[in-house]
Amino acid sequence: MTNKRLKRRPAIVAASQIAPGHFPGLDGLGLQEKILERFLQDWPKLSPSKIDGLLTPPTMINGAGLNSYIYQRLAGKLGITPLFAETLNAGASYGAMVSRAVMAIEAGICNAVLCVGVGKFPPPRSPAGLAMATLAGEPDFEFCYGASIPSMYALLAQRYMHRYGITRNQLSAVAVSAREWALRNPEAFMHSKGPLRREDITESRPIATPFHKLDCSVPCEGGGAILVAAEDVAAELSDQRAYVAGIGETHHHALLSEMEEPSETGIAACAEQAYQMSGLTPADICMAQLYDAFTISPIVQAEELGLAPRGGGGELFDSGKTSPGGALPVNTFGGLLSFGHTGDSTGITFLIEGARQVMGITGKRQLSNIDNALVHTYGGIMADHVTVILSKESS
Amino acid sequence: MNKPIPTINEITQPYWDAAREERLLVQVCNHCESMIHYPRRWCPKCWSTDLAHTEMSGCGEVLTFSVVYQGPAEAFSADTPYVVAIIKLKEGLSLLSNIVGSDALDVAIGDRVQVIYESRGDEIVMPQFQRISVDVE
Repeated sequence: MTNKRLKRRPAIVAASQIAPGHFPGLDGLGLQEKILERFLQDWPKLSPSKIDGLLTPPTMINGAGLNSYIYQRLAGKLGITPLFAETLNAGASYGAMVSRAVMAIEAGICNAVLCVGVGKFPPPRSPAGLAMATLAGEPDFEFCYGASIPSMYALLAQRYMHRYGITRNQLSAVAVSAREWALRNPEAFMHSKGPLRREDITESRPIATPFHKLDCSVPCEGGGAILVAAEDVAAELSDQRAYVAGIGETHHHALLSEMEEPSETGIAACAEQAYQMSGLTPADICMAQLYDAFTISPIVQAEELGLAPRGGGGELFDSGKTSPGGALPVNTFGGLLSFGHTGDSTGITFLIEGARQVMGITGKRQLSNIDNALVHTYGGIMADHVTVILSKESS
Repeated sequence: MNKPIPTINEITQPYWDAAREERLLVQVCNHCESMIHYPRRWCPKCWSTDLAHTEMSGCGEVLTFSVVYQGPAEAFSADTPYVVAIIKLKEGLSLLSNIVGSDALDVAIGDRVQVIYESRGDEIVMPQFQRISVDVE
């Protein structure tokens, strides 16, 4: 295959986020400023003149509708005049932000692209929650049948479980593994809630079979930022590197009900691009950060990414391999299931954790011998995908 | 609070008109013969804009389903728990709908189902499905 390795050796050179919570006094821009205040405190070598690219997600306007011009306001707040700036949508968009940043850097358009994630999970049935539910599916042919977002994931889950023998108990193991990591992360939203037993999940309120409340991610607010820069300018920006060794992107189905087989997601084809670019195989991966909106999601991803055999994704979590002390740590910050789902900023938390583990700066939960981290983010009902492989060494 | 109703436009009008007559009508591509749901302006397989309509038997099987305990809007609360499913029609096309009827909550993947029609307001009839034990021609 053609060698698609990146010539300017782009790397994530800075990555930080705030502890998720609730910030009723801050609108989208206000929350971005809070996030960037933390980012600038953590990365003191940064200054406005060194940033020539900016990517942000849209923010909510009055709880409904999206502000897609937010990057203009943020550029002004930051005092930068970027050569490359735009608003990208959420979910897989944080992997996509890395992808766009890498493209701009490789094309020689700019050197250092700041990617900001900010979000507030809209309460179900609020105007914004309703807007999200109608946008996630077809308004006439899905939403009118009462298809909620959890129920659409549930349709995928039930089909996947039926085809590949994934069990209810294995779904619970995913939530338990995430909580074990959150207990080690003081910034996780569920840090102080104590360990989960598997029966806690099935005893929680049913939402949409097979899911109970504790199969669903925890709604909250927050965000973070990463800086992607070419290797030749990286030393001016920070002393840390998590090189982008491989990256892949696929936009699969638009709607679940359009699929001939609703358990197909297109992840494997996306991952293959990242593996080929990096020269790594699934067996080389040290840890994985997998978008866990619901307990089924990381099981499907682990299988499609080749980190578990087909039908073996449930066993991967059930056996403890993904938990603290396991051979393939997954979602070492607590995941969306226990760190918290911060609405439009969720995807960036996986990249921040992957980058900081590769940099070796996650504090008490830092794992040893982390040469690389695979980060997979998706959008839609597991429809838009970006796989990023971050590496300690410039290849 | 009323459940949401579909917005009818020039593309979806034949589908909803047929539903009012208790017929399940989908688009078919005159160029590549693909069946198409939901209605649209071109065939997603070959991009032909030469589309006609064809009537489905209304028989199919459950590809996947979920029993929903918390609907996406308050208007669905009175129905909970209700079943959302993806039905694969005998003709090969899939669509999302509800499984209704007294035994709906016992539904399983692979169950045979048959279309029925539920009025929603004065103007709209929604195709729904119920479980059957044998294929009804």
